[in-house]
Amino acid sequence: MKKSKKERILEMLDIPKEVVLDLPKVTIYNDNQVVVENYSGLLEYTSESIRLKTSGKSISIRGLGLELRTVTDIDVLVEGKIKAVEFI
Amino acid sequence: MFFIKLLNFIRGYVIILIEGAFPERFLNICARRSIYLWNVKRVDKLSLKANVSIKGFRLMPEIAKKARCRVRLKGKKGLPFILHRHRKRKAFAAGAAIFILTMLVLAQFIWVIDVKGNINVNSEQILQVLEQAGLKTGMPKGNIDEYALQRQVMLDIDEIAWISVQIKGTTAHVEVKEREPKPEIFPKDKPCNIVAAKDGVIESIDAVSGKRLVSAGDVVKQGQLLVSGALDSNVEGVRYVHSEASISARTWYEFSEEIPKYEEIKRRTGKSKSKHAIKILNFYIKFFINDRISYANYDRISKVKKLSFGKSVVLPISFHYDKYYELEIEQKEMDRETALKIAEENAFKKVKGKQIVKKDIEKSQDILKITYECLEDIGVKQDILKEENTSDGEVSGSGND
Repeated sequence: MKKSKKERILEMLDIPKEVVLDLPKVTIYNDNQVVVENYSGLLEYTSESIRLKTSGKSISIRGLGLELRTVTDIDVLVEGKIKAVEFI
Repeated sequence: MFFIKLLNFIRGYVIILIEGAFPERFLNICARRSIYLWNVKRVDKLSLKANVSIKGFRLMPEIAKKARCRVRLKGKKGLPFILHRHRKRKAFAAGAAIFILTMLVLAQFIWVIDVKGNINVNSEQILQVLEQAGLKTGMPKGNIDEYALQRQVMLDIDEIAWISVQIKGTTAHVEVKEREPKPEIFPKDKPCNIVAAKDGVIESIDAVSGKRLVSAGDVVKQGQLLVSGALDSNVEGVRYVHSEASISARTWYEFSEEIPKYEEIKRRTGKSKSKHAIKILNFYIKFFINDRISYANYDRISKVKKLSFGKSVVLPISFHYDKYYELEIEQKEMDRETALKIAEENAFKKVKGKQIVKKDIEKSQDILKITYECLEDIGVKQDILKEENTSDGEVSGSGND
């Protein structure tokens, strides 16, 4: 897949991309915690599935007993039994 | 995590139930307005449970309207609500205020003076000087001039070479360093005599410099001149030198030690009494009525606990626990073997460090007479009194007898 010009420049300069391009950064700890930074909104929230809107593709987290441990305007911390993290 | 929880508790928060067809919208609006939500849980199809700060909760009605949700209060948690619940209890509030005020006031005084580092100088003495210089328990912290204290103590107690006064909380840490005692060395360039420190029989005498006045086998008395620093010569007249000699003499020490007949065996009878008290400033509040202990013999075990916050803020309130155990003292006859051993050990302690050549033991029914024959250097350097030149000669004359 071809990278955009902007992305190539940032890569050359070693600048963290999620900051400049406003792309989401997803951190997964084991199968019980997912942190999504730089999201733009919640599309769906149930205890089995969470969908998050971002500037890129939206992120879907599936699992059991999902809880939003913290919700702020820049990040969400999801806890529960994580089954899958998908970009759709 | 614990600190976040503690902070949330202090600031207070509410648990809310968000009901509506689309509660996600509610969460999005909250996020956009920087209202912090935590522990968001899906309860059922139409409702969510979440925690929110008190400040955030005030903004809820407006957001609920926008998101077409209903917000219901489920619970109030944290310190602000607890305080609010007890707001009408004036005595309680007054008590809490007085407590905090008392603590704050008491923390402004010095309650403990801790003296460290002294070996030969008595702590009492240091405390006394400090008190004169203006540091005593119960004085306000602000009035302390640490440099003045240091100066005063250094001036008043010669043995102290260095002192630091540090105030931490309600404790004044006083650290001292004692001056090393001056070693007693007779200056090498000063003329001197060598005299006997004790009575004894000279075993060997070897004068490196000075004139030897006694020889091996001589009986010498305490204070007798052994080596003279005044050299008389026909050519030059009297010349004074620094005497140097190694002298080994036989000395005798005689002790009579009592042979113990009985030994005391202490045993706790199992009876005990407790006396507890609280000390506030210098007043004791006693928690007992009968002041006297009726036991003839007892062991007293005391414990003192000081009320303090952390290590440094010690308050002038302490708890005293005293426990008295009744003792039964039984006198048991000691067998002679061990009694003799104890007596001999007592005597031996007195000649510790000396080279023992021989010991003689004489036993009677209750007294052990023991004589130690030791080898030791009995020479002590002494100034030459030049005016008494003639008397020097006299002493040496008697030594030759």
